[in-house]
Amino acid sequence: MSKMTCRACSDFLADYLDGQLDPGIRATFEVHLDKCRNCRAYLEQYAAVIKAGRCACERENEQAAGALPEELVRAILAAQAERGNTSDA
Amino acid sequence: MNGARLAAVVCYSAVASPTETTPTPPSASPDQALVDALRSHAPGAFEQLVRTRGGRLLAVTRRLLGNEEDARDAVQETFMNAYRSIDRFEGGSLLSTWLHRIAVNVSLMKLRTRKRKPEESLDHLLPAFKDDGHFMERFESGSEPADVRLSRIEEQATVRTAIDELPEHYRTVLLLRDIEGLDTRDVAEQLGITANAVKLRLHRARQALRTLLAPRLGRPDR
Ligand SMILES: [Zn+2]
Repeated sequence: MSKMTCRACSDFLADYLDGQLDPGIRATFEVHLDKCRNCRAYLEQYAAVIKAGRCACERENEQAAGALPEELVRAILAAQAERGNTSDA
Repeated sequence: MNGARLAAVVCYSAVASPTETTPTPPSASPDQALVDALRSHAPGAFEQLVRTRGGRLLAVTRRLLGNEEDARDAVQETFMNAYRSIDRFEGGSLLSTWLHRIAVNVSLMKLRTRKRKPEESLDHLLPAFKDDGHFMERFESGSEPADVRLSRIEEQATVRTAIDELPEHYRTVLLLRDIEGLDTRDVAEQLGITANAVKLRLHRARQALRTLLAPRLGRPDR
């Protein structure tokens, strides 16, 4: 494959970012990227979206850390105590 | 595209995945002290586990289940399962990683028992192409890198809402692969689909997410 269309290029984005493209395809992919501004911009946005998802969810995790609703804490402790009693019996 | 630019785009090191397994020395770990306390049924150990680890797990189950009641049930089940199988916890991984994995499994089990919804189409959020294989749309690089723009704290809610807007079949794969850090084979096994199907769904989910976030992306500053 000597030439690659934008459509084909877009199909390889995930493998490219994972470093999983075969060397031959990767070379053709990079030649296309070099020449195609639109695909470069698309790749940048595609990668940005992955990173933004991770950032947003990691912040969400941090905000939630140590903030388990008290009624849920009590429910879990009660359920555990209940189970402890039945398994000991 | 030169190497430096690529590195800037795909560098996630600033946001370490919560599930990355970092080998830790087995001694002197606060995890180990808590695990020992749990194994010996020390009073208060289980409560300490719940209070210190529960919040993050609830964030995970909320994302996967999208329903507060189910998410809370899943956290409760996670802790019950963890306590029951604490003897199987191996010091090689982090306690948080181990709990996270249980929470993901419990959530997926709950998803499976739900009434299956018909698979929603995502096609309207995928890029369109001309007959010659070029994109229909023009994408622009802004003056500021897209990842910097989109990873700002003030975009957090927008990004989260966009993820929640994805059809469930796609959202689940995106969450498991990109957010919760499971590998392709693992996700395929968990969802009972092929590895190729996981890769395809993930790619489409990311493309759809890009479309949903397009208004926040790459507008050239004039
Ligand atoms: Zn192109």
